Amino acid sequence: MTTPTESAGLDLRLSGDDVRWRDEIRQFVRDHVSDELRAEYEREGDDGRGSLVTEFHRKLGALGWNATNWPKAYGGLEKSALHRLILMDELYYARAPRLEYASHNIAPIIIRFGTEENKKKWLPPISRGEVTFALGYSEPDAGTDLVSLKSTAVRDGDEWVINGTKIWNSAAHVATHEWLLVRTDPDAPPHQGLSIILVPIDAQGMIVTRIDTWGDERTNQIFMDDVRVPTDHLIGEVNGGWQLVVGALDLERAAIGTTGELRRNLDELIEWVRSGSDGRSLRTDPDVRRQLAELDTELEIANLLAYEVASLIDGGGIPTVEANMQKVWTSELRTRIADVGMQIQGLYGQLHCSDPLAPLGGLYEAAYRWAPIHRFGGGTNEVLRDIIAQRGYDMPRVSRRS
Amino acid sequence: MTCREYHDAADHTLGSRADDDQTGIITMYVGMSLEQQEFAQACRKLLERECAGSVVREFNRTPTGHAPDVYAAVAELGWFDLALSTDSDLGGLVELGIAYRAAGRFLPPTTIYATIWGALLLRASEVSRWNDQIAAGEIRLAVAYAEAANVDLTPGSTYDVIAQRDASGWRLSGTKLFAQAAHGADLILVPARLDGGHVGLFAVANGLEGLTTVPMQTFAGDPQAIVEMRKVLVGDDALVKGPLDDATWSTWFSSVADQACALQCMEMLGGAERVLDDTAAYIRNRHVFGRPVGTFQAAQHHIANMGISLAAARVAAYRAIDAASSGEPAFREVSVAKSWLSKAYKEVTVLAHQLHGAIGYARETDLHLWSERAKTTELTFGDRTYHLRRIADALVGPVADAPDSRSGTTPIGA
Repeated sequence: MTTPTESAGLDLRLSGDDVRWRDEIRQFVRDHVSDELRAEYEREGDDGRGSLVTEFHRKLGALGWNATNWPKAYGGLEKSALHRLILMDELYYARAPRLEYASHNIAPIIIRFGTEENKKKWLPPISRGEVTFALGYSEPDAGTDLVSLKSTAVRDGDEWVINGTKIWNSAAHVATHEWLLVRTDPDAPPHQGLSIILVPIDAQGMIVTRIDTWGDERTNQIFMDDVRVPTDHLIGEVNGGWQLVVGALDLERAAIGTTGELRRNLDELIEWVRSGSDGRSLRTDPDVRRQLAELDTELEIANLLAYEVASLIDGGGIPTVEANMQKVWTSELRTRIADVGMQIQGLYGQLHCSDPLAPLGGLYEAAYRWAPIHRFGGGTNEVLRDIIAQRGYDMPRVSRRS
Repeated sequence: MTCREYHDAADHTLGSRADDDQTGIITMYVGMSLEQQEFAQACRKLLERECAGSVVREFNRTPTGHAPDVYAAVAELGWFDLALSTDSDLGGLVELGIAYRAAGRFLPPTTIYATIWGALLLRASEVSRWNDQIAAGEIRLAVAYAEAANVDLTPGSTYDVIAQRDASGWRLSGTKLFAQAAHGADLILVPARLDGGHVGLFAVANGLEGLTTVPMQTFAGDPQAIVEMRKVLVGDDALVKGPLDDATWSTWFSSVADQACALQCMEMLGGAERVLDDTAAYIRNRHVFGRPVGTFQAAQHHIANMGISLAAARVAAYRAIDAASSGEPAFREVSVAKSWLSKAYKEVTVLAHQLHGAIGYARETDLHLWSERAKTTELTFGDRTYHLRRIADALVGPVADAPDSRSGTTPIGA
């Protein structure tokens, strides 16, 4: 936690402490994030994780940087939200592998909502990287309307028996476990009959099928046919799953706030224009100059908004409205950056990364294809706008269900 | 960084758009101290009392645009002192920014802003002989920098207004335009070109022989004036800054202009927030098809988009005022803020008109006052294009020859 500002003047600048942390990360990047590591990470596919990426995560773990937001009592660093944001910004600017979802997003939920048995059983293997997760939420008929999901878990002796299907289940092909949201009480009101149960992906009765997306990332549909897990795979209380989901979504939105990757993408485009790599004179074109300036200012603002969200979290709040605003802003800016970037590149913008003439290795056409998921994922922006209006400006809450 | 929650229980009434619920909208002030929050609240309470809609209509569209009571009230609260002193008890530029954010909600006479802009220049010139009178609200200032061939806030120094050496001082000749509050000001600050290509800043007493101020008719009714000078004789001590060579003048003048611009960004933020708050309150109460307008998703999304736009404006404006108070070059932070605010304030008023429908279009409900202020502030202290050019120059390097007659925007302090 940074110290409160009692003197006059705001403190949107980084403190000495923040700068030292940032510099420490930059040194780590210089020492451990190589071109080979980046290339291996980019190539990651069905074969799972390569040796360099594995080693990278081991190094993060050795420093405790895979558990920056865990309480010290659980072996974490208890870093502030601001420091976690700086870590993500710096690592992603360097195009390092993304931080482990399990340790950064799931473990804090277990710490906050789980039983003592949950924590004893699951936190140590998560922190060692031995347990990783795919997020089993959405179903073919339940995405935005998640609470209407149909997969079930029925108690049978000392086991849960699980049936159903999950879709958009990215990481199912590489993770060890599903973080599964299932209905455990069909008779209760919908959001009061859900539970979180951890399911090994190699369990009997679990089938993983591949779905290819426009953005090149593989996702999956899983089918669960009488999959059995021990009862100690339930997280928290039975039928208490919805509050874990809500808590996780807020944290996830705050995490989406990191702008490091976008800043790297834009900086590369700016440098490409500045250095005249295009062979023409984009640098002096007034339209190009204006477009770059617009994107640059809007990305700076995205960064400031992320900092504000982090500071609100560090102040003890759950800044739902601010985090939603930041997510809407940044995800739509992401699309604009990719869109404008391709325009600036003109005909060359069409070239796929496999073409030797593709500017910046085809970065922008790939970014354009990857952009949509950020606008509908993690809460689609239309619903987030509803929430912003209702919780931020007291607009009447209107039931969505008819 | 820490945050504090600041509950705003102020009444949002203006004119005939009465609002009967205390909305208690939460406004997040990142890193604001308790003293700053209290000062903000004091400013708002004062302006609520002194600057209701009817007062605004009285001084709007008059030749001087002045309202002595409001002006005196803010003088007493210490606003001019904040602009003049380097060690005021109240604080510094950041606190003044907080005052501007409060002011934006109420549209006080722009004679206040004009004096502060002039005061910042005098402080930066280290000329303090008028401080007591300015702080007390006894002397009003105006800054006259723009000219027909150079309407932008430019760091350039190719002024047409010249100052010629005379036996007893200087003689100023030429015409300045768009001088905020010059008609009625006591002291007008005029940048002029000297022999040898140098530039100086002159403090010219209004009413001197050869000097006339002619009110311009602005769409927002704020008092901007043409300042015509025909060999106006001023003493040696009227030269408060300079002579400086071109580059030094540009750097110096831009740095002070950036401070005034950052202040205006805070004012724009406050004005836009007022419009959003009033609009949200209106559509919570106004019924159509048997239910509030605010129950319709389209209306909620307008509100959400206004809110997102102003969250962006808030962090950008605070970053700008913070940077401008630091003593270091702040051109990037200020240009990020002003380019965004130039878009955001105006767009909020456009959506507000949509959500108010006809009632917001009637003059007596006052919404147009903020719409006009939004457009005016969009254009003054550098419009969106000007500030985006400053950013672009820093990103990809300046262009040697500007494509049109708008002056170049060499990044100062880049």
